[in-house]
Amino acid sequence: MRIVLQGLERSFTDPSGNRRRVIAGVSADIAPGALVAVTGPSGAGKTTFFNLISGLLLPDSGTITAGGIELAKLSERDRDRWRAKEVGYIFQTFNLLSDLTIIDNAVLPHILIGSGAKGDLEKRAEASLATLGIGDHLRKYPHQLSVGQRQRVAVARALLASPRLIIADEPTANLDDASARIVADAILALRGRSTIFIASHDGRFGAVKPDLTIALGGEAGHA
Amino acid sequence: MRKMHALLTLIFASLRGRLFATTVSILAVAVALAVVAVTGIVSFAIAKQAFESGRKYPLIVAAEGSSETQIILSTIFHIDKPRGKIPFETYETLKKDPRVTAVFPIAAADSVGVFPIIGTDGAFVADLGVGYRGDIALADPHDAVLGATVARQLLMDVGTEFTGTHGMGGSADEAHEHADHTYIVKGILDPTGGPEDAAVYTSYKAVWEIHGEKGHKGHEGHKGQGEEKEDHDAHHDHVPSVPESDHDHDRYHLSDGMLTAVLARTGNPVQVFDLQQEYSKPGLTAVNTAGAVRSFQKYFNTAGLVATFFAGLTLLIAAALILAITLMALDARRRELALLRILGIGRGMIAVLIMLETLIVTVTGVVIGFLLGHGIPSLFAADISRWVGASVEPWHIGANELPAIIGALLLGQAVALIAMLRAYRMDLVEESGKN
Repeated sequence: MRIVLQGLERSFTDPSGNRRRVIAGVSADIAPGALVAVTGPSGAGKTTFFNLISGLLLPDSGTITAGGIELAKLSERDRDRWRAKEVGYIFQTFNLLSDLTIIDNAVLPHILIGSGAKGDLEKRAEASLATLGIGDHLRKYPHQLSVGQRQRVAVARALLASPRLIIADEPTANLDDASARIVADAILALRGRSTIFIASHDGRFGAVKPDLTIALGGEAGHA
Repeated sequence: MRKMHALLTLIFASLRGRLFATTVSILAVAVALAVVAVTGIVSFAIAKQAFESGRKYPLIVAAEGSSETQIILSTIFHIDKPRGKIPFETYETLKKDPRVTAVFPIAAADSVGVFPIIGTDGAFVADLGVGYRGDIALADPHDAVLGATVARQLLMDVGTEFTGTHGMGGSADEAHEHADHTYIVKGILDPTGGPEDAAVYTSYKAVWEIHGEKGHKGHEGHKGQGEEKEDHDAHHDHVPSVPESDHDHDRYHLSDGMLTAVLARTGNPVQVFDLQQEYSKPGLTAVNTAGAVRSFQKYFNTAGLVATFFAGLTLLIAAALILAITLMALDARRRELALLRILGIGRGMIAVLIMLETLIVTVTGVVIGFLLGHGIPSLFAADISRWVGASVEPWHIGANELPAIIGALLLGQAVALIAMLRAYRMDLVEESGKN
């Protein structure tokens, strides 16, 4: 999915009432299937940036065009649908719904957004979870799994509907070495098919040369 | 359909995830509604019994000083103590009265176990219109006819002998056994669910024999509990037609010529009014049963309203509880709800999810409350019937029950809407930035 960012700006009012500009003048033209590294110190606005390109937030100014669609022109409902269909989102933590089993965590959100039939989604999820090394834990609950195993479930869920845009926000932070390797490999394997935005301090990602780096931190980023 | 199934899976998983709060919420609604249901069932049973008895025995003559409710409770339901004595000639006079089509003597003084012994005659037992086995004529002062519950609980059958205890359900201190008068079970009534199930019928002459001079010579026949030697003066009957003192021990001593009440039936209702006027004189109280039943019903309706008020209050508390629990759960689940939003699930669907969760809790509470409120009376119908002295219909829907159910559902809906609006307005995007 081609992503075009033009003069992207976004500000927030901080708790003391001051307006703070988090994203300032980010512009980029990202080719489909590109790997984009998003860098910047803590608090630089990486999560806000990801929320903008996934359509969760709208910019104060500037435009985001994804796959030829300008996100700001869509209604909130249409942006939800677009995100459900096109975006796979992986966070550092709090990835899973604690009351659902592993297989339900992977499948239910996709059923709710109408991504496919339950049986088909379950088959794909089982295969994906098995590939990620957690095929034996399908009926367990998140609290019964290690942090690394939980993150692998989140990866399986994010990739289940073959999204054209993948956003990974510190996906391997706090993971053991084995889990981090599995998660990183699974994400990087999609390079070329999905456009991948990744923010990570993990050397595994650093070792792979991105197609583009967007540096945040109060300064305008660019390709 | 697939979406609804997925939504319900998510809802039930979430409710299961906070099982304690869910259970408390459901129980709060269920208990409130069960109270309304049980109150309705009991009120209806008592009102129905009183109404039917009022039709059957439109006139009751008892001792002066008793309230109409007391007379009805002691004479019809056998669940209160008679408050005095009247002369036997009242019965005889009524029997000779051409306006009276049927008249029955009642002399209640003793008990066996927790069941009252009603001294009457065979005609009264026959007039109950209840099926029976054995003989119900009460021809001999030693004959007894048992209600079905009495026979079952005391393991008695035709031919069993037993003795009565002085007093009616009184304390052990005031009770003593009439060991010198043995009853023989001659007949057993079929179960009716009414007050007759829990009564023992004997001849009024037996009561006289036990409590009269023959039976009370210096208390010789009594095996008293804590009263081996007692001044017998207290057992002498008072002047006829004078209300008894409050001392229960005196009250139940019925010597020859004394009854606790007379039940009468007339040819038409106007005659009941005339007779009531005639028999309301010093020493006597004449009750027009139909009129008394109306005030009796008012009493129970008021009691029912009070119970319903408290049930309503419980419902309001339950609704507040559900709202508080739902809102607290909403705050606790902000991150999970944010996750759903990020995964592309719209605000609307999240609001519906929260609303359905609340509604499911309320509806489950309503269903469980209905089942408890009717199921428990259904399981213990015989015991409750004996306790209230009237046949209960466990699946009767009381007048206040339907409004209570609708009220509970409306309250649940209101709580669900509040929770839904709160969920809809939540800024969940902010949550996505918190790691």
